[in-house]
Amino acid sequence: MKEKNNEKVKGSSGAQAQGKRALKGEAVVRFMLDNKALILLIVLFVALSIASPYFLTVRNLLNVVRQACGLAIMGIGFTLLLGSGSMDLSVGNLMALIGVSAALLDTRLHAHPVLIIVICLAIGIAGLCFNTFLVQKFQLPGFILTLATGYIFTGIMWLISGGQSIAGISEWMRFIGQGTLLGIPFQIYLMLLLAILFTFLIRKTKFGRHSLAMGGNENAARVCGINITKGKFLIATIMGACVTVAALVTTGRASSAQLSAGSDTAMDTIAAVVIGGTPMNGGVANVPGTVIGCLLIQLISNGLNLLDVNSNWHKIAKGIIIIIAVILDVQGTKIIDRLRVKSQEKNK
Amino acid sequence: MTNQVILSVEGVSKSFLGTKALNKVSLEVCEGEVHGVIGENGAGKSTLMNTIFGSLQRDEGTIRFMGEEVNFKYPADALKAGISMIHQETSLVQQFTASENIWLGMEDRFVKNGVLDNGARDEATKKLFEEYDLSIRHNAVVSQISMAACQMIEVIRAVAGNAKLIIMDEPTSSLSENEVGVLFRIIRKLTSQGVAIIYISHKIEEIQEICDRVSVYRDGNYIGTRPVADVDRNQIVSMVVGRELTSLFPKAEAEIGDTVLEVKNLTRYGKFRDVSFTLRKGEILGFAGLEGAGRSEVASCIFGIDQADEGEILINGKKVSIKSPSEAVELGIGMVTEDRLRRGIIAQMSVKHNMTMARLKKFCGKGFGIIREREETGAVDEMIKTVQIKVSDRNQRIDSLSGGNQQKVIIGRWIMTTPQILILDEPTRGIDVGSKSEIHRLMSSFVQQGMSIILISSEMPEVLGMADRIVVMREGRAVFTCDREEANQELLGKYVLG
Repeated sequence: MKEKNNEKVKGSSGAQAQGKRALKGEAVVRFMLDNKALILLIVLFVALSIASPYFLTVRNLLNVVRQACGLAIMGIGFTLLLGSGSMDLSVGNLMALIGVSAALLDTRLHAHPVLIIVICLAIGIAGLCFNTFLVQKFQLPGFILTLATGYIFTGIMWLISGGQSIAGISEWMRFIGQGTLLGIPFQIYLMLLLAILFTFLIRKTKFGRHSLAMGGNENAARVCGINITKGKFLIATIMGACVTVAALVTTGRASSAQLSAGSDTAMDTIAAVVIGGTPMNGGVANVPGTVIGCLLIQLISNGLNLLDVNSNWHKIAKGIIIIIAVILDVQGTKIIDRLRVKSQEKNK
Repeated sequence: MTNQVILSVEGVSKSFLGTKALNKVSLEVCEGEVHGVIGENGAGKSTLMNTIFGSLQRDEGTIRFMGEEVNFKYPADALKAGISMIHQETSLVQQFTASENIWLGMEDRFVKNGVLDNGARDEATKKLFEEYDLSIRHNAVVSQISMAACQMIEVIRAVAGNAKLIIMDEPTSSLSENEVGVLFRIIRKLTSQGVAIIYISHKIEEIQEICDRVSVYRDGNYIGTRPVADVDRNQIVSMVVGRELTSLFPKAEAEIGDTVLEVKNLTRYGKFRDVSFTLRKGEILGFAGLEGAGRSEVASCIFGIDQADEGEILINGKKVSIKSPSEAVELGIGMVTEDRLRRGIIAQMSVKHNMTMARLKKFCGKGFGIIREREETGAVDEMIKTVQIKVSDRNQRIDSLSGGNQQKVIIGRWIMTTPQILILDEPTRGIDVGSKSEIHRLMSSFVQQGMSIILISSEMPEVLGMADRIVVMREGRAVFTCDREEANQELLGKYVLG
């Protein structure tokens, strides 16, 4: 009788150990899925280091980071937006519109920098809030609505620009996109500052927690007494500010407002955010992941450039990366669920 | 009745993630018979039907159809074999015409030289409508016709598909009396041709009128089958609700004080009408009734999820207007909603984050709302102990917990707001017996601390065991109120089923 009991105890602890091992496997898979951008980045980094002698130089790497900054600033805001369950495809168009507005105010009216920044912020915030208003008021799918408002933003941009890019911007605006501080490009400071601020906002404040709750389960969030409308507008305001900063950085880097500046931005941003570990359907927001995602996207372009690949291939490569990211995003939880069920069954 | 058995179900069980929805149940249906199926919400009727129809796979047991053992993987297999199911909610394509809907998936019959002959199809539809004496136009677009007509179209679709057995899930829930008459006429015509009908309903008088035999299910168990002619109404009621009261409900006495909530003539058009009741300090007020009787809808209005059209709500004697859950929370009301997945948990978030969601303010500094992490964690750990959640790590995702533990997190979430009034809508549905009795114990301890609870439950023993007073709702009205001492299953059952 006693022996039997002993055996039973042994049996159960054995099962437990097995369960723990299964859990460990789950943890590894989860880590890989959560950090897929980082893993891809490392793989690509190593591959490019071997493939091209020009890749692993300070100059080139600094270039990659600098080029990733504009996208990252946009992406950091977008991470919050997507995490809170919203979607906006018009951010690129809006960014180009702000860039043109800033350049016009600067070159034609010679307005004071502070005034220009204030007006640009107003345009950015108004644009995002306009989208949010329509989505909330008429219960529209953000995907479709912002596709439409994107056209409007682009149309306005063409109207006010007269169809030409605007060159000859002031020194201060060029500094935002090209200047250095202590040998490091100014925009990197901007990007890091925003990344730290947003990480803090999302992880450590009530606002961040409520935003994610809204994205995870809007109904449940409402039942918990969270004011959804207020939250959405607050997030739109913050995103509007991010779009503005991204617009100034992009314009400054090019020394001119390019009409084509925003054409791929929305897609690049979504790709970077999703591959960085923020799911398409909200509830989770991973700001450091987004920064890594942006670096990854930039690294693809950079690598293909160094390897002398036709630039049309860049788009194809980006498209493939987005597909992989979305597959991993949608299937990832299923993979983990399957692992968990398996380990539970084994435990039994 | 020809007495040839067409469907026999034996010893069928089905579990969902550890909860047993069906426990070795049986069912036998004969050719040309209308077989009534009755039971409370959660009795396992739908699960059983979905198992027969191939929407769900059984864990054990056998199902024989027309003498052969069958194992349908998909509804399509069942349809092919001659079983049709008419769901409570219409499954017609709204944009299609009646005729297009009836022959959906069976268009092959009208294909000539690879082209669909719509004329021939419409002729066939007309003929069927004439045969069954229905005044529906064959080219009427489904979205523009009544619910009753939709129901008839679904029946005709089953006929067109040569169904030998038609399962009807509460077919009269959206029909008027006249329309019920039409449905019954069609049912009789079908059975005269040897078609068998499984007729699921909550309405005993309907079962008495149309069914030949009735099978009763309760808590996933098969209770029995009786010829309708041999039993009266009360016998059916007691079979449906007659559950043994166990020690599952350890109700402790609490001191009952002044009225904290008064609801006067509350009305929301189309949902409920003229509902009045009071709730006192330390009291558990039970709401009994069937799903759709309007209980959750009343609670939603009190909690500000929906707005009432008429009537008043008074809290501590003061008239209030609650326009959103955030206002309700400020007034000291908490609500554990019925649908845990849709309105309760935030699946992607941790146990801790889920638990503090309704009262995060408590752990925040003024101004930027920076969360005092240590304080939050401490409160969460304490609550985990209080409501006894089995969790290895407060930071693990809530959807990795069992249903019972998830529910306790949600209860903890509301206790953190220290509510004066706590509304619990089906708090123990679909959770294991252990968690269930613990939730009951918690309810008792909450009211002892001076809280008041509104308990909505479709499980009569739960209401009988926990509530100090009971309100029965049926079809949007509060039809009966009584004290704990007066209440018993038969009495309540009478008012619940009407």
